[in-house]
Order: sequence, then structure tokens, then C-alpha cells
Amino acid sequence: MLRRALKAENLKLKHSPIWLAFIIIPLISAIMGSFNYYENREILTSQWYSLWTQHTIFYCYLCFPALVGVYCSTICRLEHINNNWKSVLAEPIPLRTIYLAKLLTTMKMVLGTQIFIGILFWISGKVLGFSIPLPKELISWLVLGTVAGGVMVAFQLGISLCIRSFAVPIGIALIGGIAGLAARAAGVGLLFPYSLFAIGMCANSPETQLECPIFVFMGICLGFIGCFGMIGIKRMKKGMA
Amino acid sequence: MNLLKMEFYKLRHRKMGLMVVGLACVQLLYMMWATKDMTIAEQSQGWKNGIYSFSTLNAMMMPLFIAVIASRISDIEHKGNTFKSLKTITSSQKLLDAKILCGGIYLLSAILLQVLVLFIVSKQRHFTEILPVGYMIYYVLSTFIMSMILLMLQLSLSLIWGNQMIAFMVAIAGAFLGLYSMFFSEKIARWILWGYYALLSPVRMNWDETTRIVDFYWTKLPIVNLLVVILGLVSLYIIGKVLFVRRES
Repeated sequence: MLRRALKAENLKLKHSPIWLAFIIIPLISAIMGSFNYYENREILTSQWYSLWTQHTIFYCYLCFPALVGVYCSTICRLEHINNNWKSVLAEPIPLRTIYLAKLLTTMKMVLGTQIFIGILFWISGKVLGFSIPLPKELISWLVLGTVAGGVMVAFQLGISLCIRSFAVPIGIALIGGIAGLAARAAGVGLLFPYSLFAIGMCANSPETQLECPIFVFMGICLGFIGCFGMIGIKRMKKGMA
Repeated sequence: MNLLKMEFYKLRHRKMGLMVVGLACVQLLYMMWATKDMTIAEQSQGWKNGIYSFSTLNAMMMPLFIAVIASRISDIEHKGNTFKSLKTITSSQKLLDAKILCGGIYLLSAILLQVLVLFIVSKQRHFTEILPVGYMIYYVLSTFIMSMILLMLQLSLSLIWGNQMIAFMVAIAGAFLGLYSMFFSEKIARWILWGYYALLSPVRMNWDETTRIVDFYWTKLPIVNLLVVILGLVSLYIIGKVLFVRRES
């Protein structure tokens, strides 16, 4: 059942201009971040690590939340127009399967974005002529970022399912991203869904260890995903018809 | 006037006002947090600091906020497929003008609320600097003109394409470019439309690397930059109008 629901979600995304988001935003992040690194290379001396901060610092708090907002709004768009929710609910598929299919499809897009960011980072370093090899931590930054991105996806998906507008959830994501920056500065980043992505990506200080043990971080992320997932499914049951 | 009234009528129950107030609340919280440990020296530059911070905040938040406003104003027509029927009772130009005016009123409210936020912060943090009335009027005016150019751009995109994703992609990319442009020299930043929130600011910052002291100062009003934005606004208005009039349905 889930596999067929996933197929249906993929079919809905066919010919959607979502690839624009997928390519343009990480590309701007890489070009501008590399340019900024090049301009300030006298102060930024840690090569790959310094470049990582330049690539990710704004991306994590500003662009990624908005990007997830766009992904989630796009995945719910077809159901929101022309009262299509009614026909979806009339299908013999449990609501949790529909939710899970949407969550996994959005996560697939997030994973793709993360891989693209990694590739662009490697290319940028090569173009800038770094002498030391690519840091091994890159894989863990990207993986932890993807898991933390899942928290944002679960939260935004709940909002996009409840609010029948393309724009409003993206506005909420923007405010969430800024609030995430404040929450991180206030020291409560691990408890705030929009701060976790920057923590996982080690955007501020890639040379240091993660703020907490990896299993604690993963536990927090999976806990959030589970909670938001349950709330999302409950809200779907209550308010969609 | 009737068309403008109709635009507001279409937006009732869509919580547009709530969005404007919500944005102001987030900005107030951010400003209160950013100014929580002000020294006497910082209090003596309070207004400059406030205007500078808001120019940065605007570069970050306004592109997406404007995209949300533009999308809400136009999606009701896409949903109901009402463009053609509206064109039978009024001209496309008038319809577009009403939508621009409607969005402009929301933007002006958001900018005036920013001034209110600054007043609240000034009282709470005991600014000792005298209120710079002239600069404040310039700030409201320049921010409004800059926001209107983005509204024109976003409204054109939202009206032309039913799928709002393209408009939002432009807004996210714009916010990103605007933010990065602050780290580039003015020569380069001038080529980035979204970077003009910072370029139009009457305040500049001087950061001493050795003492780590931040110093704000008034700069000569960037009239050339303002003229560039006004020229851009007129051009975008004309282009947007032509595209909207030519739109089939």
C-alpha cells in the first residue's frame, strides 16, 4: 500500500518545476559562499571548514526552512486545489499511509538537496584550490542535517496539510527559521525544530564536536518526527473532510 | 476605489492583518533580544543601531513576506479562475492597480509597525540618542519604495503563473542574494535588486577588529540608489502591466 502511495506522490510531482528549487537555492549558496570566502580568505584560514561556514550559515536558518516550506506546500498543492481532499479521502487508503508517503517523498527531496550541497561544496573547494583533502566529517554533517531536516519536514507538512494555502506555510517557515536562530543563540536550539538543522550541519563551528552525543541528537530528532507525525495524522483525520 | 474595496473584501477572513502583526511581533522579539545588554555607548547610538538592524532584517524577511502577500492577493483569482470574468466588468490595468494598491497598504502598515517596534524598543532600552525625525521619515519612505518594487515583481510572477512555486523560488533566492550582498562591496551589491534594502539605509557600521567595538554613523542619503530603485519600480510596473494585460485568462 505504501509503495503505491509513494508512486502516486511521485506521479503528482511529475513535470512540476520543483527542480528549480532543488538546483537554484544550493547553487546560490555555493557561489555566494565561495565568493565571500575568497574575499575574506585572509581571515578565514581553515580552508574546508571555513568554506563550510560560508556555504551553510545563511542557508541553514533562512533558506532551508523556506525551501522545506516550498517542498511541503508543493506536495499538498494538488489536494488543496479543487477540493481534491475529498476524492483522496474516498480512496481505500489509511490516512497514515497518505501522510507517510508525503513525508517520505519530501524527505527524498531533502536528501537530494543535501547530496547536491555536498557535491557543490567539493567542487567549490577544488575551484578554490585547497591543498588538504575533503574533511571526513562532511558525510556526518550531511547525514545529521538530513535527519534534522526531517523534523522540519514533519512540522511543515502538518502545517501545509492543515492550511489550505501555498503561501502561508512558507511564511511560517520563514518566521520559524529566524526564531530558530534566536533559539540557538539562547541555548535552547536542541529543543526547537527549526534550530536542529543548523546544529546537525555544524554550520557555526564545523571544527568542533556536535553539541551533544550523536545518539542523543538522533533521539531528539526521531522523537520530534514521531510527535509531529502523530499530530499531523490526527489533524488530517479531524479537519480534512 | 470600488475595485480596491473589492480586493479587501476578497481578502476578508484570510488573516492578512494577522500576518502583518505576526511579522511585527517577531521583529519586536528579535530587537528586544538583540538589544538586551546595551551599554551606555550603545544607548547613545540606539536609533542608528535600530535603523541599521531593521535594514538587515528587511533584507532577510521582506522578500518572502512580500511573496506571501502577493500570492494571497492573486491566488483567489487562480482558484476561482475569475480573471476572465473580472475582465468583462473592468479593465486589466485597473484590476492590477487595485491589487498593487491593496498590497501596498499592507506593506505600508508593516513598515509603520516597524517604526512602532523601534519606539517600543527605544523606551524599553532607554535610548539616549535624540529621535532623528528626518532620517526616520527617509527610512519609512525608502523602505516602502523598495518593498513596492519587490511587490511589483512578486505580483507579476504570482499573477502570470498559477503555480506559486516559481514566485516563491524567486523570493527565497532574492532573500539569500540580498543577505549575501551585504558582505560584498557596494559596487557589486548594486547589481542585486534585493540588496537595496541595505544600500538605501542611511546608517553604516564601522567595526574595529582590534577593539571589537561597533560604531554606527549617519551617511549621506543615498539618493542615486533611491533613484535607481524608483526607475526600477516604474520599469517593473510597465513590464508587469504589459504581461498582465496580455495574459489570456
